[in-house]
Amino acid sequence: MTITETQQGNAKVVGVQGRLDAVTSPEFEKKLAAIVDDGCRQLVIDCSALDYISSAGLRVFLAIAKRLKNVQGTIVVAAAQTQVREIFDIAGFAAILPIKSTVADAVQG
Amino acid sequence: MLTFAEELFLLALDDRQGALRPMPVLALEYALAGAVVTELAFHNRVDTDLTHLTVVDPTPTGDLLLDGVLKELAAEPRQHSLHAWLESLSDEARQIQDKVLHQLMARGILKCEDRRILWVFHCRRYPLLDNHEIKEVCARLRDLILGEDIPTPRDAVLISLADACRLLNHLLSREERAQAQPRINALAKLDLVGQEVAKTVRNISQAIALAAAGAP
Repeated sequence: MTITETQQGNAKVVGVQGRLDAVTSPEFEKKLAAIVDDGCRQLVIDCSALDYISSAGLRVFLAIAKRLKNVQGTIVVAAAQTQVREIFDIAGFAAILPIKSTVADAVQG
Repeated sequence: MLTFAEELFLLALDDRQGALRPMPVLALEYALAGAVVTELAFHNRVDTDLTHLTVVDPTPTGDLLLDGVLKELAAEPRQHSLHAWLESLSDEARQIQDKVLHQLMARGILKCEDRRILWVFHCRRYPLLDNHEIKEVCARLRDLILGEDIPTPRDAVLISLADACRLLNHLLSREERAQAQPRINALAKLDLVGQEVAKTVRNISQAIALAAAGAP
């Protein structure tokens, strides 16, 4: 798993590449938590290079969405590939966080 | 902190009777199996997706119940679906339930009482010694269901498993339940293991209903 970070306007765009599973999720969660603790209130996760997400990966999104809501922040999932988007849909994550087709849409909010 | 299986068992226990509440057939068995699998996932020992359950780290957790199941999962050379493992572990639900009961008694939360009905029939009851834990669990889940907060990953699991056992009914009035049903459905979906437990319990209930309808 590779994590990248860019600033686009007010949004911090975090790209995640590879697999998000029980092995890689702790590192990803630690990274996102640190970004929120550093003051980020608009977080966009660019999932365009994410090939796979397991239950452990989904739990990271839930935990960070809660962490951000507690500080009046938002997290947006962007550009997920079909197989990853399907997992978010089956788990009903659209009920708790916005899921956008492109990073540009996500940054606009 | 209580485990998923312990919290689920306390939700399933009718405090006034000291016995389990009525639940759909095999619901508690599958939910307890799901609770143990998810607890192992929170310890980063297993992971699940839509098709499989994978052991990622066979190192014991130090919890007797979890480690027994982890050993069983790790010993299987072939990868199996989550559904297959839930089915297999639900066969051991009696042993899981006994271990959970012992853990709750060891924590001083409930005690075991043997009674006789009409001086003949033996029956075992589990009255609560300390209802602080169960009150806290009920209040937490009620607030979450009736509010708009995002659940913690742990609470999402518990809501999903409790809903599969129809145990959330006892936390809400009839009016609240009707109003909160869409929110309960949304929260219960967030956990994939809970979803699989709910689907299996639903299928079993439907099969029983069909069999009953077709009976002469």
